[in-house]
Amino acid sequence: MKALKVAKYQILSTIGAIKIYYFIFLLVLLFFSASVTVSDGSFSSSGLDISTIIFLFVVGLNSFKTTFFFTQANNISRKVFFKGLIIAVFPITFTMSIIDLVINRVLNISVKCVTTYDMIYENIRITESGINWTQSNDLKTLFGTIIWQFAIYSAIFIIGIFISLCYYRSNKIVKVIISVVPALLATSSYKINNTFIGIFNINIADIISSAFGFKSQNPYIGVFSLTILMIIFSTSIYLLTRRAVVRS
Amino acid sequence: MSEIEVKDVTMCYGKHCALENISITIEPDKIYGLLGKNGAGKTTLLNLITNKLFPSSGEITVDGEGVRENDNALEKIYYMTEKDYCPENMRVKEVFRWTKEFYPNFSIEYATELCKKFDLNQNKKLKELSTGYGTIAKLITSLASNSPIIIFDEPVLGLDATHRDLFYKELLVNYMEHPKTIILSTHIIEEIAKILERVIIIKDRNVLINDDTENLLKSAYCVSGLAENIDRYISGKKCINIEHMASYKSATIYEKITDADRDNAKSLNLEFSKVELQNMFIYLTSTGGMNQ
Repeated sequence: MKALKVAKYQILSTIGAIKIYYFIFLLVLLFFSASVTVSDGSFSSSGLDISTIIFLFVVGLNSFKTTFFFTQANNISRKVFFKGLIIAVFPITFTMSIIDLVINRVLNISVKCVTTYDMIYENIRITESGINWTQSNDLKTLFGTIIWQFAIYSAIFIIGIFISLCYYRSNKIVKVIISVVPALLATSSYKINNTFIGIFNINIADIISSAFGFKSQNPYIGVFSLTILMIIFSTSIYLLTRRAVVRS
Repeated sequence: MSEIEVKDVTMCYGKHCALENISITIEPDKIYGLLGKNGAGKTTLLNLITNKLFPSSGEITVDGEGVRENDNALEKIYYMTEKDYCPENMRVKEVFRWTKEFYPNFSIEYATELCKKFDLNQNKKLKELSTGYGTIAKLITSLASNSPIIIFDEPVLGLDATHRDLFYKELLVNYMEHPKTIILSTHIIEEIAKILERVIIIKDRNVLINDDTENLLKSAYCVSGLAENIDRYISGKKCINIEHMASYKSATIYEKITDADRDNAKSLNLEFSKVELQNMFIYLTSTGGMNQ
């Protein structure tokens, strides 16, 4: 199946960047761990997996053009290219989800290191003396962390591909629009939410909170919503790829 | 044995049309020369055949199957593009390995053999290669793909005379051992003229000529002699070019020679000669050209 070969190419061309990322990541962690030992101070870290999210977003941004050109050089149809590109996302994100969990649990032996999953879906009490929390290693938490991280990593990767494709397909004016509009929406999100509450009696923040399971502290609602997001963005990628042509 | 059929294809970029209602059949197992001036639409036509572009109207088929997003049809074609689409960090041997993934008939052994002949280091990255060696890497990949249809767009770009000669020889050897459809799109007509079986000339967004090379060359001739005699001879004939040299003139006539022409030329003391493909191309595609 050609799509699997495209996926293999995509995965192999991403592995180098992943190795460098983890090398730097572990180097930084080692530096902090060493400084704790030397100074005998306390060090706690939370949400280290955010760096993986940022990394995967950047990888997503860089995934489209090179692979598209390469598949075009080999006369591969756009639909096969699309399938290969999306298939490649999941082994990468699943593996990184497991690696991040392992790094986190090893780090938790010496320092308190809360994952984003823990912060959202676990009961953490922050007191004056610090974080009153012990890392749970039961099967439910481990499974939940891997699946939730896998879902968020995959969604972010796909969003990265989508954004780079939007830029690739757009002319200068549309490029400016798609750069400015999300920034405007982000900066005025509070006002927009208040306007929606005032006019339609709809609290967007509440909807997002419920959709991602923040309120109910159910990670699987979050995984479900992230899956819907992945489907929406993947469909958009497919639609944008259908008539994409090679250009410098 | 693979045949390409281009049916009523029009390709427009906004208001500008690059090709208009083109219809051609590219017969299997023949070597074609796709000729045209800069911007005539050669690369556009090749990009349409290989699904890199989508026609505004019309259809292109390979062995009866439409090429549009059709992997069955597309995998029969290997297209050596003028531009570099492979990542510049990729090594030549990696290009071969990946091409083998997508073209199962790709021969690594043959590619290695050609690398030795062309003196190309397979361990080099594409970005480390000169323009000429970059072209050589693409030529070797194309030849070793063993596809039933191979398209070369500007295959000798940046190649020195020795490598060009080697390429033409290897192309012929490859073709004779494994007959296939080959399309060569190039501006260096003089060098490829001898290996072309058929010629397609594109002019003003349309196919001007699609004929056997031999037929095409027989359809015109050159006549030379005293200027006044040439003027008398060419009167009423389809003359596509005239060259002056002091009191002498040389005219190219786009017609077959008849017995009456021979008698007329003899009485006017004129000499006939053959037209070279490159000259024929220049005369036919220059302003006026065919309509002169």
